[in-house]
Amino acid sequence: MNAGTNAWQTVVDAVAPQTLGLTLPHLGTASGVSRVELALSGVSQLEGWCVNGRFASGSQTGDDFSFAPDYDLRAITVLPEPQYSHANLRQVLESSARLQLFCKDTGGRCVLTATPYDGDDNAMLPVTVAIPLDGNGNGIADAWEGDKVTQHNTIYPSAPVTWSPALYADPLGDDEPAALGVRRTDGTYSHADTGDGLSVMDEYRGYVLDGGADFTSTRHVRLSPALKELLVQVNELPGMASQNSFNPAALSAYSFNSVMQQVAQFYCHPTRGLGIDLYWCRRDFTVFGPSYTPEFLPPVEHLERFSGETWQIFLDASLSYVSNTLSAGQSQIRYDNRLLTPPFDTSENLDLFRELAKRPESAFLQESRDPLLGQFVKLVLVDRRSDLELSSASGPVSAAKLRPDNAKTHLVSTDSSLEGAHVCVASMSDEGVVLPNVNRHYTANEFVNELVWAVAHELGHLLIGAQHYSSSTALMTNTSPAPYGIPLITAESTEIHDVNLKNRHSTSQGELP
Amino acid sequence: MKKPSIMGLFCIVPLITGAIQSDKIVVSLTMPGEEMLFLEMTPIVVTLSNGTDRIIPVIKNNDLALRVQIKLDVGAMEPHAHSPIPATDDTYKKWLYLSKAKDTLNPGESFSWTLPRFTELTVFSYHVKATNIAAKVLIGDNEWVCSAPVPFGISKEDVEGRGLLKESPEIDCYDAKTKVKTKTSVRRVSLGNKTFLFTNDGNRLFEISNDDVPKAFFDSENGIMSFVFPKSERIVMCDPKTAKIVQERAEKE
Repeated sequence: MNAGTNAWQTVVDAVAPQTLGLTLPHLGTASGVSRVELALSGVSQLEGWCVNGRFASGSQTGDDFSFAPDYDLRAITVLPEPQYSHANLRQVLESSARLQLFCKDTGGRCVLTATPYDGDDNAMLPVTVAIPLDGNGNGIADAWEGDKVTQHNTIYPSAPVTWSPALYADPLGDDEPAALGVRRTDGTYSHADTGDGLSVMDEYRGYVLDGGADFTSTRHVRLSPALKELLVQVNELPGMASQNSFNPAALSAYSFNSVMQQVAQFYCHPTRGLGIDLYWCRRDFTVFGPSYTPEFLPPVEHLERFSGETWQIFLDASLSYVSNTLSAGQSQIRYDNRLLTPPFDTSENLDLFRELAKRPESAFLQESRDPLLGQFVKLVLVDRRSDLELSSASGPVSAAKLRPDNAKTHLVSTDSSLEGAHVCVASMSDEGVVLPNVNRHYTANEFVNELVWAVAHELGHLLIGAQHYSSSTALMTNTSPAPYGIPLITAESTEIHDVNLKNRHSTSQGELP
Repeated sequence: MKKPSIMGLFCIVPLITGAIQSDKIVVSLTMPGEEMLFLEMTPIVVTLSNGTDRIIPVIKNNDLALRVQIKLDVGAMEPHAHSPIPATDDTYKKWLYLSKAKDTLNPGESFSWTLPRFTELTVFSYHVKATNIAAKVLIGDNEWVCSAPVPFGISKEDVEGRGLLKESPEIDCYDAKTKVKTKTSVRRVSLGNKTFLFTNDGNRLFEISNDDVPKAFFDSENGIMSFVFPKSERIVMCDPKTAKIVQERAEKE
């Protein structure tokens, strides 16, 4: 029986079940077969269709294999006459029987039993086969395991493994070697620990992802227990590149896919990277906080969103404050400092400020978290981040005063859902003038290079914690590499050694809610 | 006949100060107390004292100093230990900028920055569950002088439960001359195991005993408040605008 080897292969668009064409050799009319009864047993019922893939409608926990594409069907009959009931085209031919089997999960498994009957309706010898072929019985296709053995031996030629691979025997195992092998070709490097926080089973079952180092379109990807991998949920504010800006030439060069792909390419770079394959899922950023009504000020629809006058305040080389005003800017808001400013600092407004300030600084990270992406570290790309102030130039006008933290990683030991990184894309395009070693606007290329470094650096904090390194060319340098950005950066041995993917911040450590 | 006797100035100011000596250039940090209200108005004071024969550049403007010369280092539970406050970020804390300061601190001189309501500090400290604070002052090229850390935190009760100031017992003030009740009042606020008098706008005046509630009087001509403690028979006079005690004395027969 040929069970269709693509039972384990990558499914590019698995919102519809993958159709397996089964051919049962020798079970044809020439062998005296008048019909074949087929039955499925041991059918898995994993939720959705891959680790983070869910069906658009219907049950998420039905059978992972079925003889019908749209519902569960564990038994079917094949006759010499062509049939198409249950949307399953099938027939007993002269030398074989043919039918369809529908796979609805990239990690699904079942046992198929085919019982042929002769012309007198006597049962002949049944045939039983596991789908997919799984000799070591760990629920993972042997063919995939074989591929990963080959991959492992390519990366670690001095420490090869053989099939059946003990390294992958436990579906819940997570034992990628700490050493990077040939993933960094310029020396010998090692992470702090083995594993990447993703189990063998989850890596086999795979994820639906929006991009990585070599692709920027949505697809299903099986990961590898031979590779350290990092999954990132990125919430991006739509339309940032077309916003008004203090430096429009730079901001218009922003492209989400290009920036994220450059970050991914840096992470796996053979001589500069961290030895990590980075993939991302993109989501819109739409979390703007609660509404409130201050005393003597207009109602505020969203605490964390403001459209209007935006201030960029910085020091010039002579130590004088320079204030740029963007008359139609947009920004995320951290504090409404108007409530503390006379004459609006009434008792009621102070109470309101106190209430609003109780909102955790990184509430927007928590609230924009996709519950299906619990294993993904969290990144938010917004335009700007400001405090709301009163401008007295032309009467009490509300204005957003840009905060200095254009890129920041939030680490909260008591609640990982509040952890993650944010990078202010529009503010970074504006920031060249504020940096002592730049003092001018970035060019478009400089801005993109700086942005790629900022994203790579903040994600690095989610892997190693808050520390920085003094080398100006390290990924986690404590000095901005502006105006050169990412081309100046090489991940160094010490920072690579501090990487611990198992303990990465801002994840639920592999536990989906 | 009662005879007032001067006991001393500022002797019970409830301030927590930390200072550490480094090459005879000393930074001290004076906080209102070990625990602050979330929206407390009482300023914090950073003092730089130059005991060397060097000339040190000083930026006297508060906002500019926080950007270029002063860093407040909040100690907290891990992983927030020693987090910089966003408002005092490091972008400009470089000799490149400090060297352009218009003022200097000559040998033997001191300068104090009195930093008024610093919401960024209290909000940040609340969220990271601050346990202590120190001030660092840039005095040269990557040359910092640090104060000793002092215990410091934000009242949880003030933020999580209620507006502690507004809900605390009110003490009415009477006109110092006519003894008629005025519109002015102060609050008796418990922070931790201590009790303080606060003005209604959040300025901390001084620590008091729980069982010796004062009578309050307001001299509207001079803008001075006086507090008479019935048990200890002491009198404290202070300026509510600066939150400083201007005189303390004991009343004796």
